[in-house]
Amino acid sequence: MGRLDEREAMEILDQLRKRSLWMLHYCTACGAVELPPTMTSRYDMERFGIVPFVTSRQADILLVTGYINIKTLRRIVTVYEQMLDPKYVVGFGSCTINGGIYWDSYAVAKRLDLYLPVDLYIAGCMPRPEAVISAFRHLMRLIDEGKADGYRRYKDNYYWFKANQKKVLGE
Amino acid sequence: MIRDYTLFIGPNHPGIHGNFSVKLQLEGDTIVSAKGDSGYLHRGFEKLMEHRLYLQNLALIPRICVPEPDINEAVYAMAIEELMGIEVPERAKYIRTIILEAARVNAYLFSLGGFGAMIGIYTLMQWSVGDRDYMLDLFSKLTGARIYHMYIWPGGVRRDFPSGFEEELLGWVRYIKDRLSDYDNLFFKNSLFVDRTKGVAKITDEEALNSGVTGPNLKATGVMQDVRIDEPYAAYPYLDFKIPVLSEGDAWARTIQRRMELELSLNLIEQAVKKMPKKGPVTVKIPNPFKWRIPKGEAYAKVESSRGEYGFYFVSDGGTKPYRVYVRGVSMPHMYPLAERLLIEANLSDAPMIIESLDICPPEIDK
Amino acid sequence: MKRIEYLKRIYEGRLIEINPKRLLITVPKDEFISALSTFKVNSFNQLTFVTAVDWIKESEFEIVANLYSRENRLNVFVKTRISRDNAEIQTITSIYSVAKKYEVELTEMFGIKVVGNEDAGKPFLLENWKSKPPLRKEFDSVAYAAEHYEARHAEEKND
Repeated sequence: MGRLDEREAMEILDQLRKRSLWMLHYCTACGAVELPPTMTSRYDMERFGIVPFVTSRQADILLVTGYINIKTLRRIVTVYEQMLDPKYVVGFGSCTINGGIYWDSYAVAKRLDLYLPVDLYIAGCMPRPEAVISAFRHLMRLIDEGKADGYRRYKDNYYWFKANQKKVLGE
Repeated sequence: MIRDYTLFIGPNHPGIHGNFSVKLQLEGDTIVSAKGDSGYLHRGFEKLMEHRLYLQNLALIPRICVPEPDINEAVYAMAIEELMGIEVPERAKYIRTIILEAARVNAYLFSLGGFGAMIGIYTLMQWSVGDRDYMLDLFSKLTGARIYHMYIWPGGVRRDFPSGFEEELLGWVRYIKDRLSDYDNLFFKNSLFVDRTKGVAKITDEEALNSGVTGPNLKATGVMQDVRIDEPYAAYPYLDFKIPVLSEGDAWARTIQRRMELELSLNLIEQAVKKMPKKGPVTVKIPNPFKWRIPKGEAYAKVESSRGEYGFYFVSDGGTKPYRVYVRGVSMPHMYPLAERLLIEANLSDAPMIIESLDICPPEIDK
Repeated sequence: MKRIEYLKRIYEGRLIEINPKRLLITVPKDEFISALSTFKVNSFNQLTFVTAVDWIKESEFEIVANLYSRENRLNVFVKTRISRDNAEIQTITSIYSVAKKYEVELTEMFGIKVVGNEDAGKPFLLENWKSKPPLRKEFDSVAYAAEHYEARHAEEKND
């Protein structure tokens, strides 16, 4: 009998955390048209505990839906830094992986993981709602195993991320 | 003391349809001035289209207007057909009409759901997005994809209906028609909706005509102007319909106008399926994509989308790629300067509702 | 239709018909505003869009305005040509007030100065943009994207 040590405490917290992840309701780009079907009664995401929420201070998941415009990238970085630990980033759609169909556009950045630490990608254009739910369940498994540590990577490599952001945003 | 301050209805807001921001100057609870801030969705379509062959552009074009992607393919195909002098076969005209009307019903269900969420009636969104999903199942059976179909191309449509498709489509239309009375009891006759929107953000018909407004926003002020009647395309010359107009011009009238056009679209789908020729070719053979040249010239093709008049201005210089394409988005005159003017002297809690009642779609402004 | 006949008469054959629903006229630069005024008074009182086309081989910009007549259900293209170096036009907001934001887009995308529109130099869709206006034909979008936005190398495997 005794008190829990830190590792066991983190395991119990992870079990509780993964069943109540709150998603930030920020529709960044064209992938957001497949979010209402996932949230409403046909494909019901809420039975897993995932709810869209409005403020960034109380959200756990940042879902970057679709391509990354430069003007939006500046706001996404601010929103990500407003969220509290532990937080997860999911890249939605093929445009976050390597630019997608807008590879030759002058206003679209190609790789999301140079600017923010990504835990999971969902491929497709658009991914079906079933793919989105399956991705969230995979994220829950990663949290369980302790591998979803994007927020720690951001703090450890802070200057590398900031240098990449400054190169592309130029501020 | 009433204080003056600045507030953003910023990009991170669940109340705006898409990624778009409005900067407000307030005095207490009343808005003194409003300035829109666009550009969060800009991809540079007009430059991207100049680098791709005519057939490659078909994959890029549906992504310009996201809630209703079929209108983009239809105007692109109509502009090329006008320059090349192609005549589309008759069965293809009816199929195009059915697809465009079904996409219009989907877009109305989606935007009415968003409007309900803005007032606080969240049940409407659960119902309407769920009903729209059955049509997306039918689209994926016909074209292979739920949202971006790439089905209408210059010369007709890509493939014919599979067997049994017309009965399933008519079954869906009948299901939505039966549900309309439930929607009325939930939302359109609800005193929450009526009290919040009657008399808010009124525009007169002269003001609307001078500001470049088109679509249901214009018809709600009493002016009858619709591309399906003024310059009929696809199978509209053969169908027989009358479009209702209201005359109040406020947010209530605009929403009821959309509900009446939803019912009209369902009737049009039934009429078109009945009158369609039972057999026939659905496309003209398209040439070899690497050698497909279009004669020199220019064309402006327009359709009536669920928001208003949408068109492409297409310039060709005789080569294998388009020389210049201009996208005439519907929401540009609705936002700048109409919404900026309507927001002055309005209450802060009405601001997202005013923007939503004009049905502003940010990707059409940003391109 | 008698307004259309009147316009055809005063423009003496320069107003041509591309097809039954589209008319076209090209006017010199200093007649542009007065031509728009004449069309507005003769039933063409809705402006659909104002944009530009870059004819780099002839070293000219072509400004295109599309007007719609509700009575006669026709569109007309009113076009004019200006030179590519030091391109500038007068604002048309005195005739059609809707054109204000379309002119802002002209300045941002093509670099054409609009005299009389105080919003025309401010950024609209692009932020902190330092290169050439993007819709000009000499701006190479593929090279710009390859230089500024790093792509993933295809040899890396993350299985």
